[in-house]
Amino acid sequence: MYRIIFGSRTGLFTISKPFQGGINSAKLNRHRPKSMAIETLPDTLEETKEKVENAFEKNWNVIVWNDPINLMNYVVFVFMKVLAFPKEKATKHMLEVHHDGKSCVATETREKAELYHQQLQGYGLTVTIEPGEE
Amino acid sequence: MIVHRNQDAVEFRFSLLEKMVLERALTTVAKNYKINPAELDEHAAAVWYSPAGCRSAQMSAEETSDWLKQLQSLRMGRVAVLEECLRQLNEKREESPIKMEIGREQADSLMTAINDHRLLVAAHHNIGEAEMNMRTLASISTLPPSQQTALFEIEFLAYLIDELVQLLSEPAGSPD
Repeated sequence: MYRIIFGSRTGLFTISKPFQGGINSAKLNRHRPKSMAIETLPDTLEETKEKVENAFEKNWNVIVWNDPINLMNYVVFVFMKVLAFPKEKATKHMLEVHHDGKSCVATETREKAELYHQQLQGYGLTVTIEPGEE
Repeated sequence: MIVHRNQDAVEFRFSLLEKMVLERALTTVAKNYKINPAELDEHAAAVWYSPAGCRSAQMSAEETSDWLKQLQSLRMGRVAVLEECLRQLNEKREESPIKMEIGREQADSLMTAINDHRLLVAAHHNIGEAEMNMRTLASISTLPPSQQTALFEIEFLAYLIDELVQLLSEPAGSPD
């Protein structure tokens, strides 16, 4: 079981996995010859830590692409409905899509970006999500 | 087509031809909504269930499959409204034109389904920016007959969407 410790000095939180199968693997390693040490745990921890940190980081861009069929007022309506944009902001992004071919309508956590992606595509818009700059 | 919007509903009155176009659109969409994305024809799959966003999101094949299933569920949620509209269109009435009344709570599903049909027709008939930007009958008449018909269908359905967007954009209970 993973424990998430908030308020760590190294960042917002860290994850530790002190026991594996009920045995303290760190202690176990001390009594093993070096070649027998279990080396997989730190990698797994790092990977998991990275995954959790990525999950909370708002660096996923939701991009809406231009298409010739969707009506302008329909796109404005969808932006207002899904992204809770006021009309002016929705219109600005719709025009950006229309003139520039695409518009980044949100930068969010991966989970929320995926939700927006699904809802916007459910309305028939052409959408992609991609990780932004670190 | 005659449209009358009141406080929380919009009433459409269709000629027989308009009714037939809408009926065919709603029937096609409802039927396709029920089909698994993997089994849909390539045009419908491409416009409704494009996995391009899943690829850019670096989703695995399993995640993409789950995501598409959820997207289909979202679309399936509109089928009941479409069936209610079809029931109204097929109600045996003496009077002509044919009436269809849509409440605010049904408008979103109907509007999106009609838009999905426009996307589908455009994909089936290879209608893109150039065809959509044709503004004169002379230029439209240069297109093959099937594309001309598709373009008129797309335009007719756009009027319905426009009315539904206006209904949904007004505050609930606002006067006509």
